Amino acid sequence: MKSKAFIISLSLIVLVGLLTSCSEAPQTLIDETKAAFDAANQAEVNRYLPELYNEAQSKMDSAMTEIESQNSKFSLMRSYSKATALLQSASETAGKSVEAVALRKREIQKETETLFQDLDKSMKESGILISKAPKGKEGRAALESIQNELKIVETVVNEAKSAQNGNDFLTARDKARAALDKVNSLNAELQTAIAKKMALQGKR
Amino acid sequence: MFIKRKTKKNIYIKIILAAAGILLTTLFIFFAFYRINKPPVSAFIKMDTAVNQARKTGSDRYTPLHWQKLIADQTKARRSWDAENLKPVFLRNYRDALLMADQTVIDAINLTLLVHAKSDSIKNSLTIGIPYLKNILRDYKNRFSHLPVSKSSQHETITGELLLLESEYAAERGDYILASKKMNQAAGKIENAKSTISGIITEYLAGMPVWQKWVEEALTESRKEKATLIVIEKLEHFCTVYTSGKLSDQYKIELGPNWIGPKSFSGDKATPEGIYRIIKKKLPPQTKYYKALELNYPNDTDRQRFESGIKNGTLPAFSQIGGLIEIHGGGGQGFNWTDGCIALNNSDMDKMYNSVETNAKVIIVGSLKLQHHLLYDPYLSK
Repeated sequence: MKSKAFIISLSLIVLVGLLTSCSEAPQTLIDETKAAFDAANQAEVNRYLPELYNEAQSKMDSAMTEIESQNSKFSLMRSYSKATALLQSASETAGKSVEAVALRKREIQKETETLFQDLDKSMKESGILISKAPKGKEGRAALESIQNELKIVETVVNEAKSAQNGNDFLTARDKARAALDKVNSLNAELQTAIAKKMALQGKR
Repeated sequence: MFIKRKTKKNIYIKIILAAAGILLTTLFIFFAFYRINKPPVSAFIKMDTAVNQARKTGSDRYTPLHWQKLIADQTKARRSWDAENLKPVFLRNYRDALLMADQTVIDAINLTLLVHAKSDSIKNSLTIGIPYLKNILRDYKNRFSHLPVSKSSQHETITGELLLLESEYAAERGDYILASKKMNQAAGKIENAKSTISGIITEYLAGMPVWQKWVEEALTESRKEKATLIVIEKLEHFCTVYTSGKLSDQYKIELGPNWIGPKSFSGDKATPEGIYRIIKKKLPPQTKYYKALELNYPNDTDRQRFESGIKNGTLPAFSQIGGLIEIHGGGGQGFNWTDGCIALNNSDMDKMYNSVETNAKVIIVGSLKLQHHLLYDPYLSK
């Protein structure tokens, strides 16, 4: 009787041992992947490279479903290798996306800086053209109007610079492009007025 | 000794058999219940696929609230599955998780369709809206750029133009939501500027019946008395000379920069409106503008308007009514530049000077055209 009780308890201990010695969900990797996603969100991957972000998120979702699927199985039958692979891939993609976004941001930033330089040149050109433009009593009104327009453009340039300083590179580029287009069109207007004036002087 | 060893061996065999028995029984129970209550794996794979599809369409940007709800539902379904997994196998029930996953699939598909419809609608509105607003801006410039517009109207137009450019660039890089936002802001600015200037023109042209009456009466008088009459139409920028009620000449003119509305005070750079007479013909050095015909500005109406302006405070108390309004030479500059006078080019001034005598009537009006092109808005009906 004594030996029977001993056998049962030992069997249970063996069973519990077998059940608890099986594989567990890769919680550390899950946490690491989540941290990688936090970094990706912080880097605005979703805004600058949405395809890469979606790819990483899709892998993460698949990994979580795979983990639950394994959790549903009998403990001895569980295998988290597929989930681990998916998590690693999601984490890598998220990590890569952060680097890719940093690169993309640098590209846009450089592009915008070039636009700022072009804007500077065009604004200076506007100043020169204004000094050459017809300046009768009448010309003054037209020039005043162009100068007002240039002041508004300057406001947009300042907004673009603030966006650039605030690391909002896409907004900065859009604004800088718009401002450059406007300054160039004003310069073209001034050049036409100057050409007309020259033609009139030639006739006289 | 031998019996003792045999007994020990028996015990080990019994332990192994018992453990194997318990394990097999557990496995049997587990698989029996596992088959009856299968985990919702395929439903969750479908859910993930549907949610990812919704994410790819940009649901998070187009419909952020719907998107947040969808993600919350996805998480809730997963938690429900997870909670069941923690229970012993014979107590698990995945029904709720399955239902939640199925519902999330339906919601995700609906959201994808909604976002497609919304993004298509935004793209369409941009495809139509941007060129439409560009045309409105072009029309605005064509119709109103020569008018003395206020600085605020000019500010609105230029800001609108810049916002429209930003909208184009945002659309170019696929950010249709921002593009749409910028386009709507641009539309607001352009519309404001247009309605301000249209309001000014409409209000100004309300004086038309009075102006027409002045001219009709003056023409009858010119016909009767075989007199010369000069009619100045400010909006059209031309001056017509009638002799004995018949049109004899027409000249282009330039005015003061603030030519919309009557002259109120000295220095306002406005050209007066009313019925006047030529009081003096001038040649150099009496005038620095080639030749001049001085008008009897201010007349009684001008004086009354000025005095009531001072009384009711619409004019500064220290302002003066001004004078020395002339029709003179020096024009042909292509802009409105005088201090309120009417300028003709010198050859036209020669003709005018020779054909007009002192005391000739001069009527200055805004316009005589009933259907004025400035009031025609080609985009109003759209």
